[in-house]
Amino acid sequence: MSELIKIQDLNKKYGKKQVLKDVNLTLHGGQIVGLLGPNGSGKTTLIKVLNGLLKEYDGDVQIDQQAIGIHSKKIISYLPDEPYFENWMTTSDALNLFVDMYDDFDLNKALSLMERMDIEKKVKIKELSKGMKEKFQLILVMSRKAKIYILDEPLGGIDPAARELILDTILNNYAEDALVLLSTHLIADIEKIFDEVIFIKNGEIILHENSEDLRMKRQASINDIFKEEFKC
Amino acid sequence: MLKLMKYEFIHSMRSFFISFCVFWGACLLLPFFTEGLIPDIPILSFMMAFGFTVLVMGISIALFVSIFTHYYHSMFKRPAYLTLTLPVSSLQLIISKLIVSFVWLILGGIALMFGVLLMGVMMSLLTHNMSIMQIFQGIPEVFKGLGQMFMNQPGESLLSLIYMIVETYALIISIYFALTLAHTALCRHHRLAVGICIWIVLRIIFSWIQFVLSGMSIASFEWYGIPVTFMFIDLFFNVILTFVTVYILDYHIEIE
Repeated sequence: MSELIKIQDLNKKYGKKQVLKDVNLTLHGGQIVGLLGPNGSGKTTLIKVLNGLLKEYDGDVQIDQQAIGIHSKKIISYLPDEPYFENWMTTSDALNLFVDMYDDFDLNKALSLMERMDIEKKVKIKELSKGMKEKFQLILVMSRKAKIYILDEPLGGIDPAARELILDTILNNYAEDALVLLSTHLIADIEKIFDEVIFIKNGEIILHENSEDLRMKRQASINDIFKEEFKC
Repeated sequence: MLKLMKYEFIHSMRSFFISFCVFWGACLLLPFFTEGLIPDIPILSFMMAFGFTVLVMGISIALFVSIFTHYYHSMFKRPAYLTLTLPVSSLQLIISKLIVSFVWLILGGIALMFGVLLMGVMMSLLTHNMSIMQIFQGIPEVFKGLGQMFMNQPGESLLSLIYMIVETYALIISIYFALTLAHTALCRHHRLAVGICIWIVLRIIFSWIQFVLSGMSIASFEWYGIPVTFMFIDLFFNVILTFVTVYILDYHIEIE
């Protein structure tokens, strides 16, 4: 599978605080990768760098063998950890925006997912609950035929009963050669879908392994290994 | 680019339209507060001398604040996660925002004229000094006067018009630059306040350079008949600020 993300010697500071330290990472298409770490470990910072929201850093970041720019924005479908819609927007406004701005957006897929999740058209997004907003945003992101999906805490505001539905949405709506990079700290709910896991601690990558190999080697679930690694 | 402008227009519509509504509301209410204060001054003189100044200042501030808040919100708050990940270049993003803000400022001018008209109608209803028909009959006279000005001095009029466009562009791009600069690693806290301070300092410095290089003084400044040098200095700064803003967005932006 093609090399979609390549990070070499990435360092990022906020003032004097080092938030990413010597990050080296190569991720290929056709897999779901879990980016796991406790709060403040640098997950969101790394994701923001990949999406071009943080530009000042040391090191080299290549997306699909090109520097971050228009090409990377075209091929990355990004779900931030909080909704980004304007208050006045309706669900139809957001759908129209995605139709207009992204060539790879599949409106029919989005509409069918909306029907499945009981989200109506022409509803003001601000009137939706936090969980529904996040579901709607996930629908938009997963309805793109992107090469890379970057999902920052997709289960954050979702109730436990709906998590299966979210996982199902993610699993059934990405191309087989695409890369899904998913950050979360709710590992128990999601670990079964990971092909690879990355553990990040204080901005450093402390583990990057095939999830099945890791389970076999440690004879434990990813959740238990995570708890062990990040024990306070 | 056109799709981007369409969404830029839709996104900004609310904040600008609110400014216009507040302004028109003020135009309708102002005559009630001034009724009986200056009974001896003819209605038109009063409108031109006092009301017009207040209204121009009011709508200018409202439009200025709208440009500031709209750019700040869409580029650096939550919607920035969408704006800055759209598959367009930073230059396209800035140009589309500039064009749309420019269109809003032109619409602001039209809203201003409409507001003055509203105020005139309200005052005529309250004071009975002038009929509404007389006010509406005065509108073609204003356009006729403007037309005559252009016919009599076409060169200077055109230059003044171009200067107004260049100066409007300068106002918008300096806001964009100041707010963008405040969202780099150079500034970690109170970024909006820092952006406003940068903008004020920038405008003072640029105006000073402009006056020094063109050999003009503030006392001798007139909108009509601006020297070409003065305009070119402004244009030069506009181009520089546009590309520096795009450069910062491409290489130094920090959305936290």
